[in-house]
Amino acid sequence: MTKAAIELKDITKEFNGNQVLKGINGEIDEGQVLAIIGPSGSGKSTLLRAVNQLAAPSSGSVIFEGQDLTKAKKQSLNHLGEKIGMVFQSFNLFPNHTVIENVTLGPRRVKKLSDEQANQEAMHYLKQVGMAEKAEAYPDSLSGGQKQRVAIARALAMQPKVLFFDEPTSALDPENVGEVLKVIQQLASEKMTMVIVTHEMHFAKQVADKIWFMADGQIVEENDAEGLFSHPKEEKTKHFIEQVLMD
Amino acid sequence: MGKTKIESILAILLVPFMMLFAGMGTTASADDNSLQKIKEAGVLTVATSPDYPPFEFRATINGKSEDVGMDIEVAKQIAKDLGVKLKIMNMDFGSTLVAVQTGKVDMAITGVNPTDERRQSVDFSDIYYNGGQSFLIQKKDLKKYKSAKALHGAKIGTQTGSLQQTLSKKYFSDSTLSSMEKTPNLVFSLKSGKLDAVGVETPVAATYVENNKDLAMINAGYTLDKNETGAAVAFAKGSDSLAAAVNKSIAKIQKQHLTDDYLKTAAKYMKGNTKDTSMMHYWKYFYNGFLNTTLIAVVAVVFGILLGILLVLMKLSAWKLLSWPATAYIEIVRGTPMMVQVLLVYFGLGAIVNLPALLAGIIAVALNSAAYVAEIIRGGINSLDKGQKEAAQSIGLNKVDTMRFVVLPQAFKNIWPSLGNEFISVVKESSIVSIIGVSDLIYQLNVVRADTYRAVAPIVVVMVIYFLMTFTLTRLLNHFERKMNHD
Repeated sequence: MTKAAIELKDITKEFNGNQVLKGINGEIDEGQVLAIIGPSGSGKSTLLRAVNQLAAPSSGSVIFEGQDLTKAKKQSLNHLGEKIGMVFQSFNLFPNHTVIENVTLGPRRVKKLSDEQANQEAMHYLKQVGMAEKAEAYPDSLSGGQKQRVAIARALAMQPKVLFFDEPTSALDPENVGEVLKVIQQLASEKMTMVIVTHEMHFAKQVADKIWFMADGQIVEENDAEGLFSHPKEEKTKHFIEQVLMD
Repeated sequence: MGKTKIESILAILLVPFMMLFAGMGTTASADDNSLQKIKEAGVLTVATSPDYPPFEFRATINGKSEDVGMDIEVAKQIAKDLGVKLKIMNMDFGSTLVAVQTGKVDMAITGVNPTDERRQSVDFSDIYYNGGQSFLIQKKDLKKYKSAKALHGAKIGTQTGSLQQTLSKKYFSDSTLSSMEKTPNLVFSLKSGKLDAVGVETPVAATYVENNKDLAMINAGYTLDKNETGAAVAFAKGSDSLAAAVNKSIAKIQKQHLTDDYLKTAAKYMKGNTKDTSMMHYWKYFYNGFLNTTLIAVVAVVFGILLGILLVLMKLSAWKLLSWPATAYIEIVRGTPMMVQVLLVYFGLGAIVNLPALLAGIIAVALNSAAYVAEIIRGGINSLDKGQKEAAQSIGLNKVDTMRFVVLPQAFKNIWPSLGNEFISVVKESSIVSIIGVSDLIYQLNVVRADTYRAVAPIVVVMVIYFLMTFTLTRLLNHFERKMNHD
């Protein structure tokens, strides 16, 4: 049996009276990859943000390392940043810092590493994502795929327990998608605990240990990749898979 | 006499306010040590507004610009009789009586006529000079306007808020009356035919006629109470001992007809001023004005930014005890004229600590600019992509670090153009400090215009200087903007 890294209990989220998440229950297993798929507006990204407290849920609890994050104080939430990493759809690199500064900022300011050590570790992660040569470049000079790889290195540099990806390839030109997926795949093979919200069905099928299909703020169906894609149980799932696999 | 303008408004606005602060008032007579204080200090501090020849103006003596004129001679005589040194403080006419009331100076001598209205806020000495009222007209109109009676129905100009304005309203209600702030502007309008006559005091008219071959003067023919029209020295209420001492000096001046000599001396300086009215001759005035304007702008911008950052951080704080005062400050500063703020700092803050005019000017401009800078920065922060803050949060940065390393550097880059506009407007709007006597470009402009009787040339010179300053600044800002965009 796998151990749960994060447990979600009855998570709801409301925006201006709109219920975007309608009670999400589930487990994110340690050392495994969870992919969340589903139509636009189904609440996938909202769920990620609710879990890592970028946009705290309206109700429910998120149990991480024996602690309910929704009840944690601001102070300890800052430390959460160290333990749950986040890779955004639009990269969100700091344009006023060089690539390596983007990666070292967290370790230097939060983990209080010396400049030397932070640089050393940053170079390690930049090598891992294949961006070591661009260490001194500014983000504006990079392609989307390169930016996203730097963003992954930035998240890794905090040595998180769990890494969240919020549609990491949606903002990329098609020719750049592969390089980013390759990096994520590499991480998966190293048994990094990851949650990936994605529209790349083939990739999800390939890399995910478990898939959640979400629609209308609920998890409609949960299964392993093979099961979900080949033998979907729910009508909604079938319909969605037929549609996306036709493209 | 001629000069009045806004000081009564200032007094109404400021004095009660300052009394709250300093506990000063009109009841000081119970404990009158006005004379004793001056003697102990060994200095008599006098406020004057040197843009009104021959009463007071500036002349270059041995290469140095100094206050001269009849009033200055009177002040010298008083200081001499008291056995103390004389210290003259220049400020806008409107500010001189406020300076007296707030104790910034011991007295004001600047051609003030002791009207009943003014007597309510300050005390006056005896009259030391009474020159009478005249009209300046164009020489070619001498036949048309043989006496003031002929001016009924003509276009008459006077200084705003002056006695002449009051008189012209009373005696020439059937004429077209208009008024302007500065006498040189009125004279220029006369020469260009927009006005038929300008009402001024006789000695002022005389000096203008002497220095302008196109002008002539005629007696105004008013019947006036001497006490209402002569020039007197102003003191704070209850300065009886000082008033008595000054009246002794004035009695001497009257008896020996010293004012005639004073006017002759003044005329001599005037001649020196008008001998060479080329703008080059006055380069030093403009240069000093340029230096002061630059100093004010640079210091005000630097402190404006620092304070602006502080304000915006306070305003964005979740803690109401911080955010509320910052919001209130910004709203008040943006909602009131800079002129009022300058006066409040100089006289209001000045009632607690003795601030030199230049320092008060710098503080006021910096405080004003800070509010605008804060709003500009806030705009820059708000316009920043939300993802930047989220990314900072996702790697565990706390709020301070997020501001310092992520938000503010980017906000500054985005707002650079608007910040540049603010710097440029600081350069231009700092001109308002001239009202408290800071010798910036505008102040020097008025001095030069008063000295040379040239209405337009000094304006052009100052305009060119301002333009060169802001143009250079714009280039500089663009340079930095390009530099920022390169990385």
